[in-house]
Amino acid sequence: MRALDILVANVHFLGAVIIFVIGLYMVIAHANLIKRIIGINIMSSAVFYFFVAIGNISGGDVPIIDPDVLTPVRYINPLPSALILTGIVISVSFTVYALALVIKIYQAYGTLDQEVIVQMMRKGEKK
Amino acid sequence: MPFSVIENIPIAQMVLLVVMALMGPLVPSKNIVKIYSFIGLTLIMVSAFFLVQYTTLHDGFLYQLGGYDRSIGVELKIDGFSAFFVFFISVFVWLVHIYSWVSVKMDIPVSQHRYYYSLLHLMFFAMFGLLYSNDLFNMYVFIEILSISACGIISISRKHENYMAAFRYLMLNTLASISIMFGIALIYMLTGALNLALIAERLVVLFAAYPVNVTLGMGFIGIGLAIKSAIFPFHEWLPDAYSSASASASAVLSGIMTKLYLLTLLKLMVRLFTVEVIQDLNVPIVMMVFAGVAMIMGSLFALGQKEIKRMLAYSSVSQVGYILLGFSIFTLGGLVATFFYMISHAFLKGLLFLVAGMAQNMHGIKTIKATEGMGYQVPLTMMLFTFAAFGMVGIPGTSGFIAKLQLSLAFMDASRGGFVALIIVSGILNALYFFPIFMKSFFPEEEKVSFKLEKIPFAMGFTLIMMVGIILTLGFYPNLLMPWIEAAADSLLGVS
Repeated sequence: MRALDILVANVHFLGAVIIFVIGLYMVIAHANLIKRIIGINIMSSAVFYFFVAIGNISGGDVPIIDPDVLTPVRYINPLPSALILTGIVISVSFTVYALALVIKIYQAYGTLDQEVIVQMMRKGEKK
Repeated sequence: MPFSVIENIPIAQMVLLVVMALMGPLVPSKNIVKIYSFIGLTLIMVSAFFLVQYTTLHDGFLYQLGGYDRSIGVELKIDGFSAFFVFFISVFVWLVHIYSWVSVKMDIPVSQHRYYYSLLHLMFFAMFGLLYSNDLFNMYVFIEILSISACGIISISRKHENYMAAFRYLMLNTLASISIMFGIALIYMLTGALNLALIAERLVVLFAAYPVNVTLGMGFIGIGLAIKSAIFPFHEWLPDAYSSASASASAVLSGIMTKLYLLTLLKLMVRLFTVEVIQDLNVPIVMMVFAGVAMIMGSLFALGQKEIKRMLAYSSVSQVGYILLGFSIFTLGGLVATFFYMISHAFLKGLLFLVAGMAQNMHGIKTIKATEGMGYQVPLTMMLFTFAAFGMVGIPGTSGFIAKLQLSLAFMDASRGGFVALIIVSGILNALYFFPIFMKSFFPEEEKVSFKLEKIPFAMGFTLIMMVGIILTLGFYPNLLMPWIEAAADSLLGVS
């Protein structure tokens, strides 16, 4: 039963790892460029989830200090959430740039299948 | 707090770079961009010189951004290590910037010129930040800025193969970034701090209790940085990226960008995980294995290449191995030798890429086969190339010789003499893949009598000559640089 207890106590970390692996599988297994971008997004969401879970205390309060209330309250650590805001901005800028590149790649090669594009590039080199 | 000029130089440099990067798309003419970039980069180079002088004579100092305490705020750490590498980067980028006045006209569409300079400044800004910053999450943000702007500078040439190269690079880079962020989360979970010094204090105590967390965190951060710095099995993105980028961009990428990630790796190992923990976990052995494989395999792959720039790119893979090998002994002598090696390699490889780009853009020489007889048609280009190639192989008189000698001596001192054999074998392989170009260009099969000097535009020629000058100076008087390098290595290892 001890193993089960540990599992339940860390279920949010486990969840993050499972989402991470799903994203990684998507990046590795799919040849479609847009699906791979989605995979990367899923992976980064998993890391954000993991980061926020670190700061959480079950039953904790919102970290806003009220000067009238003098009894100490257990606050949730706000720092991880603040860091994740930066992380989300970075993730968005990655997605925008990657999709812009995908548009250009589609205009150049007429397909989004990486294997087909690699074959076309090899043919181009031989000429 | 009394106002002191020297303490405010780092932040002023970084603000100046961001302002220059943002001004690029706004000003009416691209010539104005060139002018203010030149003035700005010169100012930064001069100020970096004063900074490195100051940190060599005095101790380094800490700079709190916004005056917040280090447990919640961001801290910059300016010491021998960061100041020296900032100075080296600023000299390198200043030279490449002058070269690119002419070269961008050949390999980047006119409408994109101003964005090229913007991206260059952004990359430069992120490199400064990575070196100065003493905050783990802040470093992650700078890593992201550096990788996205590096992808941008590859795709800006607007050729079909560039898009695919940039896309691959972007995907691997982002995978690496996510891995680094996961590692940061694991470390933060354990220590509850993001300041490197604070984490290191707590980690020494916590390592005994939670070795799995520390090892996992180190593994995730290590793999992320290994992908970004193209350590051998993770080098997949590098040949495409380097060979398709424009001449000046590939010089910056190969000369300083991969080295910056290696320096970050070193900085994190020494300042965050501390050398004791690293040696407890046998990380040096792992590094040596990776380095040895990279040195040999990179050279073997380079032997099989047909294009000059791809060959140079694979040669970079093997050079990353040298640098990693130098880091792995964690002695003061080893670090001094490796830092010198990095400087020497940056200028040599930068020169090679600039000359190869010039040969490709101005004379249409792209493959090794095309160099046949070119020693007579474009003698200056081929002579510069041969000079830099000799430097890479390690002919006495160039900085490459001193660098390899010092690295070998450092390994002898650390009683790991066996690695000298590895350095020699890799050096021979180096010679093997540079030799055919030299032979083909100067001793062609059919006799060619017509011999004429080609013209090199002034700005490009200036940069190339300056680089040759630096390589020769370091080859004959390596002691000019030694006090700075020793201060850099000392500030990293001496204290702990």
